Amino acid sequence: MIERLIAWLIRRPHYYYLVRGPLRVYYARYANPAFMIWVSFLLRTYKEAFARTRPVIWSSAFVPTELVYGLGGVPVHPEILASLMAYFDISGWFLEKADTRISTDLCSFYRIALGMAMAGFLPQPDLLLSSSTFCDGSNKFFGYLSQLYNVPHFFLDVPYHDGRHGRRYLVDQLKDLTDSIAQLTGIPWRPERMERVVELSNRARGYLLQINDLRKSRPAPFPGSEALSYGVGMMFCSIGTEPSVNFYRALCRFIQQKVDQGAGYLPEEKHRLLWLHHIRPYYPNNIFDVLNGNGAAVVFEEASHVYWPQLDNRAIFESVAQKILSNFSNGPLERRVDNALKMAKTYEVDGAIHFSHWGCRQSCGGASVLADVLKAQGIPCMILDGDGGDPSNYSPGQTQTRLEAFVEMLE
Amino acid sequence: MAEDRTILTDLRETIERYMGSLSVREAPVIGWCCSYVPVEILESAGLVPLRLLPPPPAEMGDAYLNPNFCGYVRAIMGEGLARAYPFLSGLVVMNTCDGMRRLFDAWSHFHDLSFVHLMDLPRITTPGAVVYFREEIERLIDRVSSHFGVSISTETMASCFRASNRTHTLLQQVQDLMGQGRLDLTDYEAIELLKATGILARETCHPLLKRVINESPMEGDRRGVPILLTGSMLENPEIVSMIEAGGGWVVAQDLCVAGRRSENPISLTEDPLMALARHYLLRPPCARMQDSQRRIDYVSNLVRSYHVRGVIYYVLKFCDTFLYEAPVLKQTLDHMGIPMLIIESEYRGGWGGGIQTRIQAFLEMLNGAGSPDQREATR
Repeated sequence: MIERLIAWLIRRPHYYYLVRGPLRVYYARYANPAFMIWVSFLLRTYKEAFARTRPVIWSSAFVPTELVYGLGGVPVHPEILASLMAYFDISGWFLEKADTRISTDLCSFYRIALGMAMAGFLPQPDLLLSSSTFCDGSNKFFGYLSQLYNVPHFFLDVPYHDGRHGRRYLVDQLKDLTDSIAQLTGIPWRPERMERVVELSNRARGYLLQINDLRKSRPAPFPGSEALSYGVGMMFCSIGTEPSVNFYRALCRFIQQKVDQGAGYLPEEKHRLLWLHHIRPYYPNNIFDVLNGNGAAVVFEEASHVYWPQLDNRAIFESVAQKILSNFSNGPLERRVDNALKMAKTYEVDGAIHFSHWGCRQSCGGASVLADVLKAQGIPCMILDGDGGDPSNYSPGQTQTRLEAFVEMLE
Repeated sequence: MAEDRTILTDLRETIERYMGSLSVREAPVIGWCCSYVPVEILESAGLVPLRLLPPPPAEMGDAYLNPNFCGYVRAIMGEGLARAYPFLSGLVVMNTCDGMRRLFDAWSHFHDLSFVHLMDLPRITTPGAVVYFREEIERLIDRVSSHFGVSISTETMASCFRASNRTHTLLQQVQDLMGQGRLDLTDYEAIELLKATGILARETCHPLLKRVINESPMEGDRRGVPILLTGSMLENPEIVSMIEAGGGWVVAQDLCVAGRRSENPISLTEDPLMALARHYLLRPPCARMQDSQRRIDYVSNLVRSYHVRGVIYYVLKFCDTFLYEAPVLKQTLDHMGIPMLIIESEYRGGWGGGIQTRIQAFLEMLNGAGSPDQREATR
């Protein structure tokens, strides 16, 4: 009953006007103004998506959002919405539905998103846009949605090798794809619109770099748990928009203040940790409480790493291709390992936690190698098995024992 | 029946002898583990390609790859670390899926084999993708040539393509006979035979295939519910025996180890690398390819061509691409009035009574369904 009522409400664009005020009051207790920008951004995006004033483009997390904005669309990210459902502790509603259709061994974020689609929690897409960056699950999930909604699915096949041939292959696809989408939506591809998107993207990137620089400070000024939440959310959904610039500017100022005050996010920072993987469990859990309670600060996470160079308006497709190919999750694991080692050094960490999300083969499959290389460099690495979206795969007692043992070992 | 057993016994002995001979071969043996690997390139370089189909269990692999990984990948990793292939000089891994990609990474890191090559495989089949795949084949040639100090001439390549086309013709004949019920083998033996073509050298497997073809009767007297077996990696065809025991007849297969291969031979009249790229990339697709509709059309055509009455979809646990595809294919088959049974299983064989019961129930349901003519035909 509640589920149906919420589904009915969120499909009404006016609902977003109504909830914005109360949410602003509720979240005012957070000292960080960036958080409210995130909430407002989400509300505005989904209001637009349900109102369908612009083409609604469901997009996978690693498709550069600059493309979607450049095409004049509203991006909807099923994976991000799935993590929000977990955050509100209602992912079970959707998992139950999805599990009647697909295997429970698949990534819970896609299972939740499928359940949301089945329950009418998602706006009707005009088209789907995904890339092969990161994982098989994304490729096939969007293919499945295309059948479910009977809408076109545009797909970027990202080559494994970042070389001359691979780059040409990707650039050609980008050109074809933008042409085809522009024809489908009737919104012509206008370079001046993309130029503005690129400018905003580069400005957001500049603030992100400043934030990452500030986060090197001791004690750690900003918790990794929050960076892995709305910080990463904004990175996936908003780059190329005005709110993204506002968000990262606000976050940068907030962290700068903390650094100037010498204030860490923990009362006493005993250990510095690096979080490996783009996600964390989003449902209520005790992982970060246990770490905080033991003085272990998650000072940085690979998800926040700015892996891409500035976009260049003079060669936009080449530049977007470069952004996609620069992702350290593409290509051999060595790239991710090198990146982890650099981050471990830059942020002077004492240890790392690899969150092995059940259903994420590409990440779990690299955990042993990552841990082995980090250990060889004197950085202990704990492989924490868990699930980012499905609380039924979470065992608080066992997780606490493992985390405490790991932190104890760091001492 | 005695002859059937002889063929299976011969096949097993031949494989055993062949595997034993690999240790004393001068030519380097190169392992491969995906049917998209263009083995003709390895053959053209004078190397010995060997499809790795390790037996379960995979405990050793479990220590290096997460337990939520495909059992086939874990088995390869485990067997590699356990030195089950001491004669191996190299490994070619295809970027087929996350499992294979990470197998390459883990093997490269934890194993001391000096030649481990990952070959990219496009997920789409546009002309640009074919060109990119051609370049990947060229990269394989460069790596093989520089590592093993060999060169590949156009003539050798053409000769290897011709040999591959002969295998193609023989396999096609075997599969046609299987569909006509004229193969003098059980379905289990037939799948074992098709599987063996990835293991044995062409000169060893061609006589076996020819013998099976020559010994086939003129008229087929095979009866049973016509079944299409489709899905991912099937190491142990015990499931086929269960289908046969339940009154089913596997008239067609679309599996990584049998059946799923190009419908056409390699063209000998164009740029050889382009011909090879097209041959592999445009073949009936694996579920990892992006365009599911192509695969669904292919499976639907098999259903129609072989008058299939039920489809058994076998998928290894944690094989994301096939798991996602299952409901989509099922929906299409439902519209065609063809029931589909999904069997999700570990790479361990030795399936318990649960799977046997499900297969039996499925076949009984099929026997009860259908028109009186169809039921009569399957008796």
